[in-house]
Amino acid sequence: MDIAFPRIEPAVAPVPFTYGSRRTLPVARIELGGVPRGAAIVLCAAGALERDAGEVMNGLAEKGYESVAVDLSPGTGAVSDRDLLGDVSVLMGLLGERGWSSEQVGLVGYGFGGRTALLAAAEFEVGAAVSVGAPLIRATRPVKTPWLGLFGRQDPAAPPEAVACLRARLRDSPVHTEVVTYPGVARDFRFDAREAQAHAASFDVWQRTVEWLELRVAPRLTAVAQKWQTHTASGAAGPSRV
Amino acid sequence: MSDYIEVDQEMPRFRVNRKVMTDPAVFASEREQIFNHSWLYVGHETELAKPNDYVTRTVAGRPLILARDAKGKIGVWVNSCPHRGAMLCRDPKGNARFLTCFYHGWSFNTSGEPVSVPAEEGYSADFERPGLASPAKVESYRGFVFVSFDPDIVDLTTYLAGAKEYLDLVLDQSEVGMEILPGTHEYSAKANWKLLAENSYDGYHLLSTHQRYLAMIAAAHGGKLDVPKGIDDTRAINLGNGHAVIAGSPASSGLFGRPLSEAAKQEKAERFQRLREKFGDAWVDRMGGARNLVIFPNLVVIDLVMGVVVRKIEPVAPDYLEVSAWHLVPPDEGEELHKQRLDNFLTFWGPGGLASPDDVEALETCQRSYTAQRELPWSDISRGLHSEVKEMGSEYQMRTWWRRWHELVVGEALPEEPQGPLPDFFVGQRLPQTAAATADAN
Repeated sequence: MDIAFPRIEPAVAPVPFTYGSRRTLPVARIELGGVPRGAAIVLCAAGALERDAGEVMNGLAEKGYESVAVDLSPGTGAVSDRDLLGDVSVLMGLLGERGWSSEQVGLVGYGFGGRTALLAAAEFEVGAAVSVGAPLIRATRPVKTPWLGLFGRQDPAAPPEAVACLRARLRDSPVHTEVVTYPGVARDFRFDAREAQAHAASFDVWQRTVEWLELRVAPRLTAVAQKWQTHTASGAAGPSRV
Repeated sequence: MSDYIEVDQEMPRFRVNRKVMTDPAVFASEREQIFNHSWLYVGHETELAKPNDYVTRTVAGRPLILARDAKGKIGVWVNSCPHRGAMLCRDPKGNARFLTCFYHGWSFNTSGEPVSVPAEEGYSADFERPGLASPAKVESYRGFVFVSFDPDIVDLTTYLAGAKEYLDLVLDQSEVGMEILPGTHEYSAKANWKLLAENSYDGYHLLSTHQRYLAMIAAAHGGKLDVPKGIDDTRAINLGNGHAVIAGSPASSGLFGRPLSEAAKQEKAERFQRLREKFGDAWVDRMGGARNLVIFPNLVVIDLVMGVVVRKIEPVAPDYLEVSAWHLVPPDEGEELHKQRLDNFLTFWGPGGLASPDDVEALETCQRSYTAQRELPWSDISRGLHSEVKEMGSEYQMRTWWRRWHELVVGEALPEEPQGPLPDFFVGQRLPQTAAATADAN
């Protein structure tokens, strides 16, 4: 995020989450012109919509991703995991209205939102999912969406042995997963700091997040590319495979 | 007879001219006549566990991508953007649904199909978007993936000929399917690639070159290495198409590796007992003997029963070769046996082990001495030529390889040498299997 792109102010509007928690929550959106690369759902840390949304969404926009962002943390009420998954499907619906199919969507979650991203990766098949600084879930199911977990080794909510256990359990998933841990940092390691390990972690986290999406989120095809795909599907010669 | 190989059937004597190890013209000819017309090993299907996993390999000088696509199908692609050539995958392994060229941003999926071209308005509507290039042929045998750059080559099974049986002897050792462990041993030698092909099934050099390893094993066994009875009952066997193997008796596998606990011996015995019920005694007796297999031209599978190495030799220059080696294991094995395998792999075959560096040293001194080929033009490969019994220490297996080399590079078949009938132990067959049991063999 070094190049000075013009900053886009996300449009924030209330959205009723009718399938899940049945709350009405503020959702931030950035919509792009032309043919955007893909779409992302940003699941913010608890109470951090204002802090996270603008920065992360602009970073994604620089890479060509439209996005929606929300803070799904329960606040003072109770929200079940099932409710959260319903909430994520409402967000997928919002992107669907913009023509995005599930394979063209990436999930990026921070803190509580990272936990939700992992739950969603086990429930839905989307393009890719990333959880940053998520408190660990005790019994994680295998995931259906390629998932990247980034943890601080000093995070009391994600102790190294529990992270190792999660990594081993996710190996049974039918898709690729990866876990990276950062020494000397706790939960909020995505923010830059003077201390060397924190600075390195914040840089690496963003690089890995973007790369994870770039390698897996299906791009929206242009009209010309779509025409070409139809042409090859109708019998152009394909190369040999086992 | 050519300038390269001289066969005297009277003496008898078989000699190879050292020019073939140094001459760039011979090297170029091998590239064309051998490597463009053989089946060449790329990698193993178990290296790609998940959809969109890939590894990159160099095969006959070409950069290749071995990938499992989103639907699980294995494919091999040339690791070069069809636009202007930059490499798409620059890591030795990874996972990516989309491979994007870092030069101009063209992207492709793991099925080799074009996905997007940035700023495509710069091309006409009819512009043909190229997909990734592929070698002419890709086939696999029980997880071993081979490519050929020759569209007219025979199918892989026909090419493997008798070598197939020896792969089966290795691959039948697991009840759930043998797997390649993650990671590659990579090393190089300032030597011609053919020297390592010869060395990989040279039974004659074990005692002289690998004293250090044998001393270590003896020490691990309390200072005395009990040479198992019948250890010298071995054979070198011509498997057709230039492939050959040296195979040991059941006693041979006991020579290698550190000692096992009683519990581990018991576990191993029980697994082999189950294999006996499935495959029959004749087959499992053979399985228990060590074997060094070279599949022409450059794939080596060495199975000392306590460990299996799969080794690919890549010629880089007349005097430089690169090796990639992988460890093939039965994943159903317990912790101690697994640990013993890892130890064997490292201490015997590892680039810093107690055997491979000795081989590299031997090969490099051979290569250095070939500068004196005017004074000393010939290397001798005659051992065992006078006898119909071809034991492991003969050089029959190498002569088999060289005959195929000569046929391809020079275009002339050299006289064959008779091999007497093999003892029963070396010909025992696997009991017929049901279709389900052999499904992975097809």
